[in-house]
Amino acid sequence: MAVEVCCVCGKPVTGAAKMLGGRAFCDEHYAQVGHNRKGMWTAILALIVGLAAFVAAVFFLAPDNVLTGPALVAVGLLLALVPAVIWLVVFYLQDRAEPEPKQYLSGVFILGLLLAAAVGQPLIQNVFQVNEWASGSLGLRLLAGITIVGAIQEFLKYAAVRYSIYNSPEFDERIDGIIYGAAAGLGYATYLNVDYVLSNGGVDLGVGAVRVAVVALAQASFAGVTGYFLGRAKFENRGPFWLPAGLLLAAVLNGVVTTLLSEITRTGLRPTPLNGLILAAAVAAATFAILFAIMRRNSRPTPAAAGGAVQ
Amino acid sequence: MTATTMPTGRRYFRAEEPEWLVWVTVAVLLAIGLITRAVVLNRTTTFTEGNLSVSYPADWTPVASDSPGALLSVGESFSGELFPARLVVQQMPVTEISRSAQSLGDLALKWADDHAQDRLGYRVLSIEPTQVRGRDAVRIDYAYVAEPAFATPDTMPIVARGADTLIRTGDTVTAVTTLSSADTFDTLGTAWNRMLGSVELE
Repeated sequence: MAVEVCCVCGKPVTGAAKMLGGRAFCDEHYAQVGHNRKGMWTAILALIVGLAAFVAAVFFLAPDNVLTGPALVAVGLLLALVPAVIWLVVFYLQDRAEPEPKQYLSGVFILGLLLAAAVGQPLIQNVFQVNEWASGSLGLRLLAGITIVGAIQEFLKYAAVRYSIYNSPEFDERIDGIIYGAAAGLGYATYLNVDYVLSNGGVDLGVGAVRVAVVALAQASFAGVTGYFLGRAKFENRGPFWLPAGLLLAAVLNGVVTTLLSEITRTGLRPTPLNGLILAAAVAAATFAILFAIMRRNSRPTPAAAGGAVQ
Repeated sequence: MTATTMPTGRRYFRAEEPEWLVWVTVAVLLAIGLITRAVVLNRTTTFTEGNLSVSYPADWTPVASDSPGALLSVGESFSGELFPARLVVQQMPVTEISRSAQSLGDLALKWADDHAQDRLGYRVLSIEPTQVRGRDAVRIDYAYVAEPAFATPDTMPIVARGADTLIRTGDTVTAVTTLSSADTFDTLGTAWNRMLGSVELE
């Protein structure tokens, strides 16, 4: 009889292997795999609420036109970092009992940022030149948003997780997919925001804060979806179309939400950036609420799994 | 992807999540995007009047022009931009621009001088000789402060950037204007070149 090998640590399992979704686990990793980290969800909630509060504070309290030149750019760059700081700080504070290694989480965040800077945005802007031809009808923007912008951005966030932490034993819970996916998404968002600040020579504080929050919430949500599919794929046999379906879903979400955001914040008789914040916060809340419900349901042991029998 | 005891072939095709399918998915999405791009960029409408013919993107629609007597004035319809990109083509006798201009360079200077009078903050960025389908021409790059297309009293003005290309055929000058907000002008470079390259003067 062949010896089962734990799908997380790769060590042979002695005795009857615990099985989940067609994969074998050692006792230690079987106990961990369905763990639903409360800190993760608290951090997401803090990100949504914290960014809303942050934007409200900046939008309504920041004095107009007091900064110019390098000071405006410097403050804009600080604004761009706020979402990542809020999320990472709250996550670490909530996750002290069994923390994810800081270097891995920061590493995936930085990887998302670097992939955006070195591959993603240059491809979208310079190779596919989306802005040049996809500014016409709503349908065209939607199609370009899904097939090019969504596909590239979501694949790079997927790659930031899949080809780094995913193969590590530290990736030992299904929820790790969402955690590291969100980190990659926030890294990507941080680059988008930094690039926006630098290319505009600084930003109006109120509008800049709204944009930073919108981009961060949206990118983290899309990547959370991809991360969920990755988290399930590592620990369960989900079939050949599971990961492509996850990527496709994230790309569609990216294209649809980004197009909607551009519709409600840039068209019409006057710019309405706060509409974008409301939509982005709603999308983030809905996305992570659905993921939370799914993860909670999946964290309950099934009779077969609880019995520890080989399936 | 992960270690199990399943036979390799079955694991690869049935039980596991083959990585190559993710790459294929991305490649298919990008291919659809590229095909869409090619279709959009190659779909044009051709305007013909007299000896003039020029092609522009098919989804552009007529827009108001501040150039009286313009033969053609079209712009982006659904860009969401406060100042959508536009193409304006005018034809006029050389004497309408200048009675004394000897060269295209002289015409360009007079042309720029005239436009400086009726545009706020008008600034010539460069005047360069060029060619349009083998014909000598001159290109005037400029910027000015413009009212957004969807302006309300509390909307900030924007910086418009444009290029007027003057092509002289006998006693007639054809002026091809490409205009957009300064933020988007450079990114539309390929589209501008395609439109200018389509200008035919029989």
